[in-house]
Amino acid sequence: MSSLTRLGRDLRGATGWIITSTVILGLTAGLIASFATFAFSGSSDSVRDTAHNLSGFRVIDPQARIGRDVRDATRLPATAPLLDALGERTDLSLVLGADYLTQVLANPTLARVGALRILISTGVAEATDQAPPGDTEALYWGSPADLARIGPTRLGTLTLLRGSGQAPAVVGATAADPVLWVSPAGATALTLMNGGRADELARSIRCACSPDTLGTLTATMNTAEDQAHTGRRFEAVAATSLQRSRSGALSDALALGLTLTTLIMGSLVVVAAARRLRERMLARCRIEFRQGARASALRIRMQVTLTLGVDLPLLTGYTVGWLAYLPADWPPLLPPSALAAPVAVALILHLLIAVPFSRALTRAFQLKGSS
Amino acid sequence: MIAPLLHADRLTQVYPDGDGLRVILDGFSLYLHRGEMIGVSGPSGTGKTTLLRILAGLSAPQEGTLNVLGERAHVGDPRALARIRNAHIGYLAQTGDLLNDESVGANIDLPLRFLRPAPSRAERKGRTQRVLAVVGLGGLSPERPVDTLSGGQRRRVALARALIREPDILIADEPTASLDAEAAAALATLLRARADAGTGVILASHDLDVLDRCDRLIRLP
Repeated sequence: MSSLTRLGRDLRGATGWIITSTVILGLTAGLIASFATFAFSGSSDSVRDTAHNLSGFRVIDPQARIGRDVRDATRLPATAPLLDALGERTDLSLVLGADYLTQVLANPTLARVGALRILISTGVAEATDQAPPGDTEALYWGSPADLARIGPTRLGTLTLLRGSGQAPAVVGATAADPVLWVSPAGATALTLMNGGRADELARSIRCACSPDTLGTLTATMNTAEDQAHTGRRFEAVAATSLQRSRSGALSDALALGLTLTTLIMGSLVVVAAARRLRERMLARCRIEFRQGARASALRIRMQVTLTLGVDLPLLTGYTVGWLAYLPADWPPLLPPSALAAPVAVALILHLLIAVPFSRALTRAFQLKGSS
Repeated sequence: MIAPLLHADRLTQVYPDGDGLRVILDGFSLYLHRGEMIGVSGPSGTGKTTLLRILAGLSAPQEGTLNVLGERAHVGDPRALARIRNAHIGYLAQTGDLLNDESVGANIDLPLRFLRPAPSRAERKGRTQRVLAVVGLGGLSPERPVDTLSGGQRRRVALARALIREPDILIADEPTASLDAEAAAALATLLRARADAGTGVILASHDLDVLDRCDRLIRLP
């Protein structure tokens, strides 16, 4: 009997192990969904007050390639017509999260731009191009009466100003999560940002118009995608619809409850299943060791079994969750810097199960007598 | 002088017991020759299983040496010990140690799967059939699940597994335990036959009928 066959028998032989793996997979996907829902549920409250005449773009990517294209704007063909439109139409705005501020400040090319207009938060209803006294090189967008400087106030020729008014409901800003408003001219400058997320560009566009008004632009963007054979599509939708799809319909409390329940139940299932698998495999390993199997081979088999039985379903569940929600215009569930987290979780879980398992094997293989 | 199959020399094994120490083996020595059948008896807890496991290379004594066919089984070298054990010793555990979710054939040819180079499937099947006949289960299908067998059949299957590598030494721990008189007698006859065929047999038992068939008896205090 081959090692592969024995490995398959180990996985199959443990009662309910396949079911357990399926449960792990499902729970992982559910966990992602609940995390995503929870993460964005904060914006749902502000959506309810959204102005009716506001639109945005929904990105549909059947192959979920946006995540891989984020560091290269040229791989998002719709970027060019979108930026052109931003420069030409006054009803289009770019709404970016506060995390963008770090990228903006970190980019040396912005020092040469000088004309980037940024306003953090605010109550801004209309754009003006008035520079505050003494800061002739800075341009901003909003009412000077509502603005206050934030430090450091200068970065090359750039001055940042914070508005003191209420955050506009249309951008879903909260006190803990302010937003940046960038003027159409400033949007062009943003393409210079190294590491900027090209997919965020489309998702961050808001138009003070109805979705129908974006029809021509949408067609142009889709044509660009078609010519590049990306399979990616853009749809113009009402901002309320767009943001609801992001936030889901669950309340914060429900999302948190679902997350915690999923975590607890998943942990219990994994621990119970791992214990059962360990008992069965230990008995088998002990017998096979007595019949001539090498201890090292049995240890390797144990590790492979755990990898296929725990790590694989866990990571598959994560990937399925990711792929299931990304094309539906769900936002990235984790920032790129945290993409190693699922792997780390799988590794920790693997070790939590494997270490006691390995110690039990060592005891089983020890040449100690029993009376 | 004919070299012994197995020579245990001054084996010592001591376990902690409460505040003191419990001596299981104290300078125990033993020779086993080809064709010889040695019985080990004694009350429960006197160390019969410990002794058999040490002789089988499954446990390490705290002191003493073990020589199998002239080769010293060094307890500090588990790999060498395993090699000697796999090459020369068949061990029939008290519990049988059968894989209950496997077939008779899969249990019996288990030791063959770990041989390098591994015998072919056909060879394993042939040897399984032959050893099944040796233990009196020639009519039993190798495909039959082990958990459908009677207690006596399970013991014979376990014995067949211990014999499939045709070991020079067969060590059996309570081979007739939990068997009815008829099955126990049949199994004892089998063991005697193996000894008569040249295998060195050491067994631990409480069964007087089995012990009566042994060439020598060792009683642990």
